[in-house]
Formats: sequence, C-alpha cells, structure tokens
Amino acid sequence: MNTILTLVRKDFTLFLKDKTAIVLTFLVPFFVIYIVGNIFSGAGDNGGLSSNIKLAVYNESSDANAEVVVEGLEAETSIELVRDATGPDDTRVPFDRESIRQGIVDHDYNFALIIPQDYLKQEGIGLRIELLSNPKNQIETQIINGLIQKTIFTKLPQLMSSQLDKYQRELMGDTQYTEFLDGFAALISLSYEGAEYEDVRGNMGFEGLSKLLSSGTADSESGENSGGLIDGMIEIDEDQVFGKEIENPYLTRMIGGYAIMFLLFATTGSAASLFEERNDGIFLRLLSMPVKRTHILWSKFIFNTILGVVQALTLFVASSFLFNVEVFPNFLNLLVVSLFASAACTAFGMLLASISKTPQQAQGFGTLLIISMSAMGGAWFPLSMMPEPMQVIGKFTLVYWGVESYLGALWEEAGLIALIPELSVLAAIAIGLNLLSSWRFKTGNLFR
Amino acid sequence: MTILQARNLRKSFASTTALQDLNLDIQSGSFFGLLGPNGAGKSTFMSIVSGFLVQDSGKLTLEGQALVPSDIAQKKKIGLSPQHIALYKELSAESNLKLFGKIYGLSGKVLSQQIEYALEVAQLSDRRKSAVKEFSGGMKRRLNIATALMHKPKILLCDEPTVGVDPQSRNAIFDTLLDLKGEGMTVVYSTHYMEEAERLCDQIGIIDAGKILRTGTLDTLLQELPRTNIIRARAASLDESNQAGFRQFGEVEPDGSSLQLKTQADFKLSHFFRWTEEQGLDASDFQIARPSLEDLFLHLTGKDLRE
Repeated sequence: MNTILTLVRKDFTLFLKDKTAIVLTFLVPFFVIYIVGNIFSGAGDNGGLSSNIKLAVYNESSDANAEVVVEGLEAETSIELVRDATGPDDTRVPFDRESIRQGIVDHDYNFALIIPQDYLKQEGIGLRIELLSNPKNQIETQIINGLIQKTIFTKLPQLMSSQLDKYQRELMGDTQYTEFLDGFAALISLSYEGAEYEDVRGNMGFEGLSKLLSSGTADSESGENSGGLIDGMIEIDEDQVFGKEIENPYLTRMIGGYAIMFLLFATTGSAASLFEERNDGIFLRLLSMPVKRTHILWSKFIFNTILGVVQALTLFVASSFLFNVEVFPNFLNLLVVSLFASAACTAFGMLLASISKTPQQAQGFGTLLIISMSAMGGAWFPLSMMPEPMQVIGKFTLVYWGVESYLGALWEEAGLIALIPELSVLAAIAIGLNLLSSWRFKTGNLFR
Repeated sequence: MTILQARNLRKSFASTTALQDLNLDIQSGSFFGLLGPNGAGKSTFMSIVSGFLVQDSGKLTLEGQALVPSDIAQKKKIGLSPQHIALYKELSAESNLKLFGKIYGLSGKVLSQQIEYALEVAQLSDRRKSAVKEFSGGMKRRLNIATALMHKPKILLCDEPTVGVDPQSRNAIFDTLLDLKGEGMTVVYSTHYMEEAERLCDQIGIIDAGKILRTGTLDTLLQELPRTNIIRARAASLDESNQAGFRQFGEVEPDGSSLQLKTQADFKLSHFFRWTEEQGLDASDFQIARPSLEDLFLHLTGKDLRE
C-alpha cells in the first residue's frame, strides 16, 4: 500500500509542477459546462432553444384570417420571421413562390412557410399550408415543425370558424341551420335557470365554438389537446428542398461534424509527434543536413494533411458500407472537401505544437480548443440553439466551416463551384494558421 | 591549417548564458577534444557549428569562410553525430542510412556504396535489415556515428558519443574514430570523460561555463600545472616513523588504503629513492602518478570535472 501511495504522491507532485496542466484541468470542464449550459439553461421556456431560427413566410392568401397564423409565428420568440427577399440594389421586395424557394437554395434560411391562396379546403373542413425545408439538422427541423404546428393549432378555431359555419349552412340549408340554432338556444334557456336566451344564442354556432377553443388553447399543452381534436384538419405539404432522396438522413447530417472532430484529434496527436522528434534529436540531425526548418514543417503539414484525407475518406466509405450513407455519388466533392478540411485541421495541429512547450501542453490545449470549437461550431448542436454572441463566435471556428462544407457535399450534394465559399474559408484558415505557426516556430521552443 | 575557427561566440537562452566569448581554433586533420562538465556549453557549440542554433554574436568560419547555416555546400562538409540517438527507431539500419543519404543528395550507386561503407563502420552489415529499436545501446551509438559519415564530411562532430555505452562498444567507437582521423578527417569530440580525451585527442580544449579555459596538446596543458609530483604509498607498508619520514618530502593525505604525497617544489626523485633504500622499504610499494586533466580542471576552475 505504501508503494502505491508513494507512486500516487509522485504523480501529484509531477502534476502540480505543470502549471499549464493545472490550469487546463479546471478550464476544460468550465468551458464545456459554459457552452452546454448556454444551450440548455433556457429549458422550460422553449425546450432550451435560446435563440432564433430563421423562418421565411409568404402569405399568398387574401383572407384576413390567414394573417393570424403569421402574427402567431411573429409572436414566437424562438423564430426570426423573414417576410421579404433582397431585390435589385439591395432593396427589400415581397416574396413570391420562386424567391422564397431560392432563399433556401442560397442558404438565407432553412425553412419557409407558404400560406397558399386556397389555404382553406374547398372540400370538407381544414386547411392546407406548404413548408419548404432544408433540414440540415435534425434538432432544428423538429423544433421548427413543432413551433409551426403549435401556432396553427392555437389559431385554428379563429382560422376555421367561418369555414365551419359555411360548411354547416351548406349541409343543412341556411334557414334550417338558423332555425336549429334558435330552437336549441330557446330549449337551453328554458331548461336552465339563469340562462338568458340572448346569451346562449350568442355563444352558439361555430363562431361561439371558436371563442371556447381559443380560451382553451391559450397555452401550449392545451394546444396539443386541441391539436389532437382537430388533427386531421391540418394538411402540411412538405417540400424538402435538399436531401429528399437520402437514405440515412440523420447520419448523413451528423457525419461531417464527427469527421472534423476526428481530424482535429488526429492532428493534435501528430503535433505531439513533433515534440518526440525534437526530443530524439532528429531535428538537430536534420538541421545539420541540407534541410531547413520550413522543409520540416512543410513535410509534416503535407504528410498529416494526406493522412487526414485518407482517414476521413475511410470514415465516409465505412459509413457507406455499414449505414448506407451516400458517399460514392459525391466522392470527388468529398475528396476535395476532406483535403481542405484536413489542411485546416493540420494547420491547427501545427499551431498547437508551436505554442506549446511540451506534448502534454499540446494535448491539453488541443482538448480544450477542439471541444469548444466543436460545440460552438455546430458539430454537436445546431448553431441556432446558442445565444447570438456564441453563434457569431461559432462562425469563426474551422469546425463550423468544415461542417458546412461536408453538409454541402453530402446533404445538399452541391457541386464544387457551390462549395467555393466554404472551401475558401477553410483554405484561408489553413494559410492563416500556418503563417501564425511558422512565426511561432521561429521564436518558440520546438527548434531549440 | 585551421579548418574551424570561433571568435567571441556568444549564445544565451532566456537568462542562461550558454556560451560567452568562446574562441577556438581547430586544425584540419586533428582529433580535437572538447572537455568540460555537463552544462559547460559543449552541445551548444556543436549545435551552432551544425546549423541547428544561431549564435547571438561572434563569428564562426569553416575553411576560412564565414559559416552560414543556410549554405548547403558548407553543410555538406560537416557531419554531426548528436548526443541523442537521432535515428528513426522503427526503421532498419539500412533504411535510416538510405533516408539520410538521400537528404544529402546521394542516389544510385554512390548511395549504395556509402550505405555499405557506413554499415561497415558501424559493424552492422549483418544486421542491416533489423529495426534500430532492436539494437543494443552500443549498436545504436555506432549507427548514430556512421549516419553522419554518409556524405563523407571533412569534419565530424561527435557530441558525447559514448554516453551509456558498454566498454566493448566504447572501444569499437574509439577505434572507428581513430581510423577516420587516420583517413584525414577532422574529428571534434565532446566529452566529460577525461580518460577519453587523454586517450583519443591530439588537441584538447577545456570548456567551462561557456568559455574555453585552455587549449593545447595533453602535454602542453599538463605543463600548466604547478611542478608537483604525486607519489602514492601503500599505507600498510609504512610504520609510524616511516610515515613521519614520508612527510619530509611534502604534503601527505590519506586516500583510501594509500597515502598520497604531493611533493614540494625542491623535490628530487633521487633523494626520495635514497631515503626508501635507507629505510629498507620496497620501492614497488610506491607509485609515481602522472597529473591528469582532472587535476588540471580542478586547478583551473576549483571544481571537479564531474561536478
């Protein structure tokens, strides 16, 4: 036992001597809980959603009641409503069917609601709306569907009161329907003491029912009940703009984020190998030969980038064979995206090596930064679930651009030209990080 | 002819001064020993000469030309065997030699010939395909040196090449280096073992705290010591009266089972042996010790070489 305690004491002594390790021990859990907490601490209001998801709305109907749905959605704090498109000279122009769809293709938003001209069904009771979507993220898709349905259910009685009255009058005949209501009101007022005929008559018919349902659907839970009551009355024509044919949509959406995380962890390991070679005296020998520092750094960069591409492609090919992720139709695009993503991740690994004094520090910094970037960059949760400032920060991470590139290639099956913006950002990140690490290598510890 | 010259070389790391105004002249074809304790600045000097580090100030010349780290032609004149086993341990001896040979621009027949030569020097021809990680410490050290010879350098820098090596391998390394010197190669050999410097080097530079304290041949360096002889006597061979007589020749200190006499300035060896004869003592109980580099280092710095 004494031996074990002595060895444990030795580990603590070594640990306490490494100030960076001590700082990282507390910093990593702090950052993780800060990010996760920011995402989920709002639970109870709207399921943890603490920010806005963009939803474009085009109300084609001239019916005044249709605007009730739009108003309802506008009142939702979790939705940022987009009502018009950008026209020539950056002017705002009202949507039409073409421009609202183009907004999804252009990634201005991922969801668009169209209330058609004939949103009230001509045959029977109910309404019909159209939902265009690019469900790049499962959680975001579920949230937006839930919010749209909740809003419609809440406003349903108002929307359909006139339609139900019209339907009954057509069914029974105008005179017969009026007589039925008059008679029924008279019967009630006679049967119950204190029930005045005028009051009873005023609450009868579907307009009265509308008032009752409206008072009963004030909160979301009642909304669900009323939804159950009139479930069949709402018809949502869903039009998935991207990913319609994809066999395994959930994994296809998620795999890009995990591929980037995988690449980042792999390159952090390779950063540690730079220290190994230094400690073995390999750099000393190489630099005594006709070899420059830049030769060593470039060779490491090229090797790790190629290795990253091979590993990422292996991951995708395996996902294709094991889980039917459609990899091969987009293989060239995937190869190019993997090349850019791997280059950016390798440059990140090189920067880690350049700012760290020991391999342990590189591992510590790596874990902290990878977890933070993955959470903020959208590898774990959709960016829309985070507070606005974190969404902005998230867009400065290479994880975000890596995830977007992979989603473009796999989910949207975008061509290389369409991926140029994302790939350019990844290339810029790779170049920027490489320049930074080259500068740090000149003054840092690696070549000493 | 001077092949390597250092003038006022300075190098600092943060608050530590590794080299301070180091001056050195190494003659072509010589076996130059850089002798000093750990932390004296030997490896820093080697690293600057090899181009791994750049001096803060001062001048280094190779064959009369200023040594520029980016000058490939100059780098090809230098071979470095670092203190660490700077080899890829997963690769075989042959693969390591091939890799480093290619970096020097060797190819084809020349590369094959040089690999054979290096394997022969390292005495590893029969283990050419074995991974370096499978080698003993001595085999790794020999390959570490042989790798530095792939491009036939004019000057070979060996930074403590016998650290952690068994006596047999150490002798093999000595033989190899002496052979190379015999072929006309200049060898710069850093060590903190004075026995190695005494055995191998025809020129020795004593370095401490980043400064060269003295340079010269072993004999010229030892002449720096005050003219004293050291005579060791077996303590058991001297009774009390003999010991008193022994003290008339100088300062006597016990040294294990011996008594060590540091003779006075006017000491004459003939007088001493006449005294032993008169006392009936056996001359073989006395041993005259030659002053060593250890004594010189102690004399120059006031501390032991291995401190």
